[in-house]
Amino acid sequence: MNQSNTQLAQDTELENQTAQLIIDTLNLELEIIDIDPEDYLFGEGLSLDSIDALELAMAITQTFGFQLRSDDSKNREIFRSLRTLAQHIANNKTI
Amino acid sequence: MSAHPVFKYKSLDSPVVFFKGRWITLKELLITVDYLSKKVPDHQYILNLYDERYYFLIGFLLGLKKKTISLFPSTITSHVLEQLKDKYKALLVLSDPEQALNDFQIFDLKKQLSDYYFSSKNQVSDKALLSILPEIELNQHVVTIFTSGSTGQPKPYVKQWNDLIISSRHLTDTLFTDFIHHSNNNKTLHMLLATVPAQHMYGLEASIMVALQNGFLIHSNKPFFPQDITQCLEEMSLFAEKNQQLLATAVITTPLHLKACINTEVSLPNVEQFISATAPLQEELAQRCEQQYSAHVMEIFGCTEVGSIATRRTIANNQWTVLNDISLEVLNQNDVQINTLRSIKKFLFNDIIELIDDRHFILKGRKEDMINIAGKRTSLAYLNHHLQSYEALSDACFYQNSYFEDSQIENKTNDLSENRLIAFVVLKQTNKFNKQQINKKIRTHLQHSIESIFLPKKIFVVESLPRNATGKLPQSELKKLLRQQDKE
Repeated sequence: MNQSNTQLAQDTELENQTAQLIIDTLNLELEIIDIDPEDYLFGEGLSLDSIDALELAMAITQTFGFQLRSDDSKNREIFRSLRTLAQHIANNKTI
Repeated sequence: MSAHPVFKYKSLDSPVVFFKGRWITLKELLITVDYLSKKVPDHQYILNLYDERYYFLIGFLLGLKKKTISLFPSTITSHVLEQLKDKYKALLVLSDPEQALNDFQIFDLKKQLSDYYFSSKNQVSDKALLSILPEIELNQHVVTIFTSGSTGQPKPYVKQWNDLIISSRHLTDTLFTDFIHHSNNNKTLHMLLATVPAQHMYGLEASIMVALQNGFLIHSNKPFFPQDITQCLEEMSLFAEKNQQLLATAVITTPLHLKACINTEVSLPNVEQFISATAPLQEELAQRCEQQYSAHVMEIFGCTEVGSIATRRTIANNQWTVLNDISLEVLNQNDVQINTLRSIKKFLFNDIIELIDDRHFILKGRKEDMINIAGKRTSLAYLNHHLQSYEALSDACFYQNSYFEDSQIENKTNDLSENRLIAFVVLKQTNKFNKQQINKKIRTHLQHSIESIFLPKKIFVVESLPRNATGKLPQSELKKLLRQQDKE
């Protein structure tokens, strides 16, 4: 497996792990396969709301060992989709 | 009728807002408001959508100065915007330009202030400065605030200047006396940091009016994640240190945010007290906050219609004490009336309470039709009205597990979503969609008129609803139905 393939496999694994975290934390009646990685998490798509965001933030801190922040304009981008959230976790996780 | 001042700061050089790493003095704020008041188009109503308290405050003060009315809708959905546009013709929206607001006249404060430069050398006499926002007549109509109503039509409530003055005065007496006197010297900066919007009664009273009426510094940010709160406090602590001042902060927040802070173990420096409202705070959580942050945790009980009604220190008392302008009166077994000096005069409790005496009560639960999630209230009737209007359904209803129903409430502190809504739907026979499609379609339909927080977390497709002989849906039957679904 070349390097980019390894990277891809890691990304997918983290995406799946993040999807499972969302499903477990928010008690959603979904399977990982039901969440399109590009689908919106808020608004259309999964239609999560601000309470969900706080719950997710707690779960992410407990699972991946870093704190989410909303001070920069990137926040909307981070929570846009499963893929962007997983990417943010990949860049920041300490556990 | 007499009048009452807007500000109670020590001097014109006192800081009012901490915004983007610096503070805005009363003098700068007044000159800014004066500058904008000459540029703002004529209007009768303001819809002030700013999250940042600096801009919110400017908008609010512009309203006071121009004697125009700030509208506080209970939610901002496209449905609500349409209703406001129809009803309030001379409406000016204070906001960043957004596509959803294309039909409105927008006054963009950030853009207006982008080429504005305030010089502290500005030679304006104190007298001229003070005349920019002189005392406001007590009967001036300042805010119209809306509840969602039960029929799909929002219900407006008028707030006069006096209403806000009364509630902030009594909130100060009961919640901020220690805060003010603690390390009260010229070196202490008393700051309010709020995680809640300024555009509802709790936020307006506790984070804006209390600050203006006591000379507290307002932090402009509305932090959301626990780490955001930490960052605001750390930044402010550094700033105070540089200015050789001590910092004392009151954090105006909700049980949700307190829970998130405790569970993620963030550090929150220089907090003297937390104030929580919008939903009942569990005693265990309050206890943990008091210990971890060496700060008092106080609660406010209130509603849109009246404003702040009662307070308590959560760990010390399960009884609430009403504010000094309020007394309670039993009308019959279930109804308790709130009598107040505010312009609403009297109001029936939305919640079920046990009355101790005319100033004390214990909260027992909510009335069946009321829904309260994270401080936002609506009625089941309103939600059901919108759900049932979806064409693919022959019958449908929302259901909420009550906070108060189970005796194990205390054990649920790690779960924020304990009282989220679910929906039961009965499909028309002509329905061609599968379960997942119908789920998505119902959500899309509801998003137009219902705020996302009230969207059903789960939608159960059932054969029929357990309506009784009069067509009503007893809560006990819905609870049974839910248990059945959970088993399947």
